[in-house]
Amino acid sequence: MRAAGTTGSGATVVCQRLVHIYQSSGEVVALSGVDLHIGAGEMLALVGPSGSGKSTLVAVLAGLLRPSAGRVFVGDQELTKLPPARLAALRGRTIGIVLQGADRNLLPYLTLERNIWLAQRPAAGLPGRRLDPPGRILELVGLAGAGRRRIDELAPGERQRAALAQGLAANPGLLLVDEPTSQLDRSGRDEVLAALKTINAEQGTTVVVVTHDGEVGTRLGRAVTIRDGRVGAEGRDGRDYAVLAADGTIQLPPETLAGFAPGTLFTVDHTADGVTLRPRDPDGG
Amino acid sequence: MLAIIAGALRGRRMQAIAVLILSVLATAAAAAAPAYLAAADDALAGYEFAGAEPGERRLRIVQLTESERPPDEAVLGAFRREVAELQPDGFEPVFSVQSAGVTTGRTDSVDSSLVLREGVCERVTVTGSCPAPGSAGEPPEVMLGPHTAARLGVGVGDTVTFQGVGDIEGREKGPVVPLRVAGVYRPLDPADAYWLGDEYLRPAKPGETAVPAVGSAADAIFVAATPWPVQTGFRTRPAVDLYVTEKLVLTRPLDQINAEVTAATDEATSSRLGAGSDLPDLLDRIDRHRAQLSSGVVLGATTVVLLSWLVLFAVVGIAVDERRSEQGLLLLRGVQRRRLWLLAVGESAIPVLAAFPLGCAAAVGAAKLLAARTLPTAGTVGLDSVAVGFAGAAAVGALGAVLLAQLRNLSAPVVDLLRQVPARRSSWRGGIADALVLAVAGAALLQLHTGGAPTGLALVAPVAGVLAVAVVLSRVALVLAMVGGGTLLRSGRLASGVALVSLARQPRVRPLVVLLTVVLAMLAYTASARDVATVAYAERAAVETGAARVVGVDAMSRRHLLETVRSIDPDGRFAMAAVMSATPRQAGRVLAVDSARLAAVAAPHHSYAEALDDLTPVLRPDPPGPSVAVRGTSLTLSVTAASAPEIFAARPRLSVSVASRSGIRQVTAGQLVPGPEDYWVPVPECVSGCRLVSIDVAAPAGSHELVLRITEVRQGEGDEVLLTGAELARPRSWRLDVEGRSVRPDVTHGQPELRLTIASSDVSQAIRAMVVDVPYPVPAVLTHALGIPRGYGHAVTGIDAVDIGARVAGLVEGLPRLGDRGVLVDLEYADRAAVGGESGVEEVWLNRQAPADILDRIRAQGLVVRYDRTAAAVRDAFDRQGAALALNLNLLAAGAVVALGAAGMVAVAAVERRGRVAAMVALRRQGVPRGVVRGGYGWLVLVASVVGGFAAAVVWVVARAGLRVFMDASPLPLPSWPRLDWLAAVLASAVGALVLTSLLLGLALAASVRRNSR
Repeated sequence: MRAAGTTGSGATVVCQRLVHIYQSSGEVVALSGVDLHIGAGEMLALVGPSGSGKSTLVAVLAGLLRPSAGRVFVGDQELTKLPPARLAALRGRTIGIVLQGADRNLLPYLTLERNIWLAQRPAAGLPGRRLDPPGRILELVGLAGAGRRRIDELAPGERQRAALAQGLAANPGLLLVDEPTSQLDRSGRDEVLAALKTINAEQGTTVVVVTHDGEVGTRLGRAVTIRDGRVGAEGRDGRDYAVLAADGTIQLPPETLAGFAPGTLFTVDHTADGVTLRPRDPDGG
Repeated sequence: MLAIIAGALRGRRMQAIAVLILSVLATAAAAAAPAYLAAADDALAGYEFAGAEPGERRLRIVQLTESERPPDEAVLGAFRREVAELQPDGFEPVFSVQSAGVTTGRTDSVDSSLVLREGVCERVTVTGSCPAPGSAGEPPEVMLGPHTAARLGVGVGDTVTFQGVGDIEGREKGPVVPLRVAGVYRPLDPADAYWLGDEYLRPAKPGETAVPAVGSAADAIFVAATPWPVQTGFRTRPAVDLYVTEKLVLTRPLDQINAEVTAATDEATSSRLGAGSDLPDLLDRIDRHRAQLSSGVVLGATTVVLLSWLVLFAVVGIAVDERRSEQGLLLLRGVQRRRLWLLAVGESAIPVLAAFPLGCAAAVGAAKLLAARTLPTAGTVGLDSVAVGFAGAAAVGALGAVLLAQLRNLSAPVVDLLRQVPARRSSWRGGIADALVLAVAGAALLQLHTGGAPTGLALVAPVAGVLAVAVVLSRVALVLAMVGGGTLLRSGRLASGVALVSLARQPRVRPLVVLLTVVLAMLAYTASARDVATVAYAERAAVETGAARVVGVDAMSRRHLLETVRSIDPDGRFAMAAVMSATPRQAGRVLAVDSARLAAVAAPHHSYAEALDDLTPVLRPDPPGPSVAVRGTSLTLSVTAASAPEIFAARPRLSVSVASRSGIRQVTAGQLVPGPEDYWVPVPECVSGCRLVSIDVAAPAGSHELVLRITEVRQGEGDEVLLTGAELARPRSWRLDVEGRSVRPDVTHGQPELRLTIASSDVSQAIRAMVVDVPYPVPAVLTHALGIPRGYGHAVTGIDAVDIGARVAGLVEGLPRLGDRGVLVDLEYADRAAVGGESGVEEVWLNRQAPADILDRIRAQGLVVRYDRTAAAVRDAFDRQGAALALNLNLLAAGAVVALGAAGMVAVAAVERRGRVAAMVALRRQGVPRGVVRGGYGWLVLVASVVGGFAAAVVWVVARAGLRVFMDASPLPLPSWPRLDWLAAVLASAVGALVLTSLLLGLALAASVRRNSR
């Protein structure tokens, strides 16, 4: 069943004060209070360097990791309260996931059609769910006629699009794509981004792309920068914005921060057109 | 689902083939074991049955009371009806009735039996015809053996007479009955159990023949069921021999046959019939053979099956690790875990199911091959429900091993599965598995040490023990590899360092280390067991046989035996006379040998401790006096007897015992009379010389003493003085041998006479004044196990079955033939100390220098050859027993698991190849030299060799108590350790094979790295 609260066929995603701490070898804070709202049918890029927490955030959004604190909603389902079996079902029906590295998304011994068919199994037969035939999905990602081929018969760009097709197979409300362009040349990257836009446009699917490539974020329209486990900035319409977190914090852009030592005091002045942060004069001014 | 499974099988052909091959191996080993055992059970039973003594193949029921009737159908018919209800089902009865008597022909008479026995005509070739039932008034027809006919001087158509030994009381002879000789028979197969050994075909008497022959003049004379002219005056005894057939032994449970024999025996006894059989001995032997073989096969098959499972576990475990992201993907796509399990089961079950028929077929082939190579006789190999069941269990186990290997990944969180680099964490499952292995090994070893014979879990104690040591030490070894590898890397020794670290960091490499450890340890253990058995067989054969070759003979006397052997081999280079008493082993059997030849002829053994040469002076000190040699046809004793008239009225008797070549004989000199008297004793056997053994008095019971004064002994017709009064009076020339408990006779010296004073007694007494021509008590060498200190006296059963005194003149750990319990004396001295003519088992011991025609030489001297036994044949017989077969099979299985170990290395290398190549390529791209990236499989073999050697030594020490090398208790302890040269050779070949495998794998890996580094 398609999750309620979707806009068109896309699902809204809401993260509230998400915190996740890895306990494996000492405590590592991967997410430290992420607030994020993604509208139904929206395309968004999670941008940030390695270790910033973006993959952890995607794992939480996919229901693969239960956050240490905070709440996550996909549609009207609060993932943090769902038992593992319901989460697994949700992944099969509502959340499409494309892992980093196209090969990891496809069973190498099955044809593309079979792979897509396999990914459709959890959603097949759900009332009201219309599943496109594998050929149509492949056509959507620009691989029309490739259904009988196996992954080792595809070029790198084709493989990545085949991985996208696999993620789309169950016609999910949310598509999470991890580094889809990291190992592609420019033309391959263009093909993949084009495919993502097509999917978003034609299916209305909410698409979240994890990338370290700022240009990808720019081309997707909305790019949220993750830094040190927080949403540090957001770029929309060609401009960068700092984001006010639910706890009242704002991460300043790195180039701004570079001019101040940690512990610097600021005054907050309300002006007619906004708020001004002014560092305290070292002489006490 | 099926499509995915089919796709997975196509996509992972190598893994599927590995699972298939290993499952085939497991199922084949599991099914081959019972298939082989079934064939071996039959073959061993058949082999034992073929070599069984006649008494072991039949139950005999006889009528205890003898009939006065002739051996005819009437006696037989009555007996048939009497035993009709006693015969166990399936046994083949042969009824017979026989009468003892004397048969007389033209030239001579023979003591023989007239026998009416069913089926005799079918088992002989006859010159003339088989006796046929005649009509009343005609002489009954008989069939003689060729020796009998020759002795009697008769042929076909002639008449002989038979006279029964008399009536039941034995007072009167039976009537003389004429018999017509219808034929002269020769048995078709004298070894056929029908002839009951030498019961009907009697062996020749010593001195009678110099050629090998079956039977003698005393062979049975067979008659037909015919009317007899006389109906009384016989002593006839009917009997039935109930033969157990080979088919019966092969098809009916041995316990059941045993119970039937016991029941028939009990019923016969309660019906006042006699019954006896050695069949239980045969059944017991077969049972023990089967049990020992079975235990060995169980160990061998269990080892192969367990290791097949272990290889499967290791190979599939590594393969699964390689594709863990695939399982993560399936879970990510919403595939439920139970479906994931089904996929895993399906992918593994198909090759396992395919392996099942292949394994069964391979099992039949392997069992046939093994049966043909190892069994003493051909056995029928086939698959029965038991074998199929075992194959099924092995297949299920293989599937279980495959699933167990996937357990960790199949139950892992999705996010963990999706990690490109798996998290390193300690596995509690591994700890539990190790604990389980240790518990099983502990229980098996405990059962082995407390349960007596190894059964149940104790059967697999060696492999369980080796496995336990391997799982513990493999952990230690990998930790050491990690530490050592790190140290080597820090010191710049990259090749060894990288190899060791990559070995230690592979979590799935431990099963491979365990596998190779178990492989090498089991090979070392089984090779040790086989070698210990080989040595034990040779040693026991040498000790129990006594010499390289031993010929059992019948001699007229011990003197005949001694003189014959000494004349055949005057220099004492290759032959020695020996006589073995029939005393039970626990009491210490007595072996009398011609001790001067013992060192030259007996097979040496380290348990004899002292050189056999050193025993000769111990056993043969100088005698206290010479023997009294008699030469003449008579002896005359001058004796003065004095006692009360009532004593003489009771007829006291004087006798003389002489020992000649034909034996010891006691000859009565006559009834003692009061006063001086010469007593004449005929001793014709002494014409060519004999030895005076004793002067004997049989004194009646009475209230008066009897005094004999022997003043002179003369010999021959000329009355030549043999012993003067002075010689008779020498106090050390005589010793008294007294029979009877209440009388202590006195011997008084001083006068020129031998004076015997026999005190009054209320029982009759036999007194022997024996010539002292031998140290008495007789010097003897005993084994320590008898527990009698040096210098002590010890009564032993002499070679004539009469107790004699022995003095412990020496102590040794072991003795030829006797092992660790026995008494060795000099044959000549034992003969002089003996008073009876009966001998124990008479033998001629030979060493390897004995001439080829030795049997002819022995026969030419009048000895009758009873058996011819060699130490090599005895050793070979040990080597054909169930225990030896089991050890051979275990060694074969150990060899197979070495191949399995090599196959495991190859399979593991194949499934982990992609990951290893990628890691090595990465190292190469970082500038690591080419020589460093060689795989490190050699280190694996090195670690396994060290750990395996240690594990084998530990398990050998704790589990060798369960080693069963013989079917029965051996008189010799087993060697504690195997011969190192043999063990080193076996292990070197196995380690060499594994090292070669590791080299080839390293080369293949290096080639792949080169290709992928370009």
